[in-house]
Amino acid sequence: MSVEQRPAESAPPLVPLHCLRHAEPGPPRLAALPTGTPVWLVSRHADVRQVFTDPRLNRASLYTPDAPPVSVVPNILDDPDALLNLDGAEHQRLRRTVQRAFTPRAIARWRPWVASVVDGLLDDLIDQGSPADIVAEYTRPLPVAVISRLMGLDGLDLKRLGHWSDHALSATAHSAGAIAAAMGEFAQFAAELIAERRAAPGDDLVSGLLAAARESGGVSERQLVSLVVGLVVAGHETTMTTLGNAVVYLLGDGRAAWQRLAADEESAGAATEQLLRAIPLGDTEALPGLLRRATEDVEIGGVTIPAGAVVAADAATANHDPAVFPRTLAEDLFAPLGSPSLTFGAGPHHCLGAWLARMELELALHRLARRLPGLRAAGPQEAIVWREGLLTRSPLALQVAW
Amino acid sequence: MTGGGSVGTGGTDGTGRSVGTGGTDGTGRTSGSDRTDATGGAAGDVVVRVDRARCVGTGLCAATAPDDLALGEDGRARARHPVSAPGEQLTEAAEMCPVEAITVLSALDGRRIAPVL
Repeated sequence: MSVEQRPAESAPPLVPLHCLRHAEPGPPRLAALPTGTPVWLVSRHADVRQVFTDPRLNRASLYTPDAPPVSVVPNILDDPDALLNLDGAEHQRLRRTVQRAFTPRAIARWRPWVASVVDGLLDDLIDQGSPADIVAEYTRPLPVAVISRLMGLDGLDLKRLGHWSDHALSATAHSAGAIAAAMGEFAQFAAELIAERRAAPGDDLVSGLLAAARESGGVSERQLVSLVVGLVVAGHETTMTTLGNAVVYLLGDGRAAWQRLAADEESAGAATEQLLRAIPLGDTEALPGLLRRATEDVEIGGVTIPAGAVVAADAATANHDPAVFPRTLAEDLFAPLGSPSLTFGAGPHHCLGAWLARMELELALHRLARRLPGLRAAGPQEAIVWREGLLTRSPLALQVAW
Repeated sequence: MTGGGSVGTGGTDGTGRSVGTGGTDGTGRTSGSDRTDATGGAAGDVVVRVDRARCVGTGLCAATAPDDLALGEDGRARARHPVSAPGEQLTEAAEMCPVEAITVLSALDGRRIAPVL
C-alpha cells in the first residue's frame, strides 16, 4: 500500500502493537484531542461499555453545527452519512439493510469457502518458497479476497483499493485535500457499483442491501454510497491489520503457542479472541478512543460528564483492565475470555463484521500454523517497517522463512 | 399480548432476567421440557429468551419488537413478558440479533421457533 514511511530523523523504532503499554484504568479524566477540543477519557472496562451502550452518548451529535472539532484532518470516520455516524431510528434503518448478512449463522455459511481461499493462498506461498513477505502473500490478500467475493467486486483494481483505504483511515499520512480527492473517487466507485447492481442484481451483499433499502424506504442515496464504501474499507482493513499484528506476535514473543495453534480449530478460535482483545489496532496518539458526545448530563464511573462534552472510550486500555483481565496474553492465549472484550465495541454500533473477522482470523492462523510448523520471522522485530500515519498500524511487509 | 401466566417454575422477576427455572446461565441451553407445564399460556404462545452473557446491547431487538423486548439500564436486552404472542416482529428481532442472543421458543413444548438455524 502507498503509505509514506517516516523520515529518517524521527523517533526510535516503533514497538509491535502487542508491546504497547496501557495506562492503569481509572475514573474518566479530562484531556484534549489533537484539535484542542477537551475530551473525557474513559478507560475502565465497565465505563467503556457504558459509553458504547448508553443512549445519552451518541455519534451523530459529534457532527452537528454546534459540535467542537474532533479531527484535525477529517477522514472516513467523520463522514456524517456513514453508518457509524447515524443514531436512533435512522441508524437502525440503514443497519437493517445489511445486518442479516452478518449474523453468526450467516457468516458460518461462508466458512468452507473462506477456508478454501486460505488454503489457496498457502499453496501459493509455499510454491513460491522461503523466504517470503507474508503481508503481501497472505495477511493482505485474504481479507481483500473475502470482502471482494461478498460484495461481488470482481476485477477490483487492488492498487486503487489500497490507495483509497490508506486515505480512508489516514490520521497524519495525507493532507485533507488528498483524502477528500481519494474519498471522492471511492464514492464515485461506490455510486457506479450501486447503479450496476440496481440494473442487474446478483446474490452479493450490495444487491441485497439495495433490495432491503428499497423495501424499507427512508434510506438516502448518500447513506447507501457511504455504506458501500464503509463495507469495503471495514471489510478488509481492520482484519488485515489484526492478522498482520497477530503474526508479528506469534512469530516473536508468542512463538511458544505455534504448535498448539496448529493442533485444532477450537484452540485457534480461543487464541483469536485473546489476540483480538490484547492487540490493539493502532496507537493511542492517533486516536485516544472511540468518540461519542453527551446529549445530556451523564454519570460515568462516578464522574458527571456534562451535556455537550466529547468522550473517548479507550477500548484498548479497557481490554487490559486488570480487574477484568488479570493475566497476560502469553499466560492466557488459549483461555476463554471470561468477560467480553470491547474490541468490537458494544451497543448500537457494535462492529457489523465481528463474526466475519473472527472466522477469517481463526482459519488463517490455524491453517498457517498447521501448514508451516517451522515458520519463523526472517528479521528482527526492530526492523519491521510499519504502515504509519493511519488510525491503524500494521506491518507494511513482514519477511518470514520456513 | 401475554397469556397471563408464568412459564415454568421460576416465572420472571420482572427484569426479564430469565424465563423458566431460576435464571439462565448465559448458555441458553435450559431444557425445553421445563416449559411443558406452562400454566395459562394460550396455544401458540412463545417464550422469548435473551442470553444476557452474549448480549452486546445493540438495541436492534427492542426497536424491532418493542412490545416484547426492551433494553435494560445495564445496556442489555430483556424479555418484557413471561410469554408473548408470536409475530413477525419478534421473529425478525431474533433473526436480526447481531450476536444471536435471542431465541423464541414455543411456550408449549420449548421447541425453537426463531432464529431458524
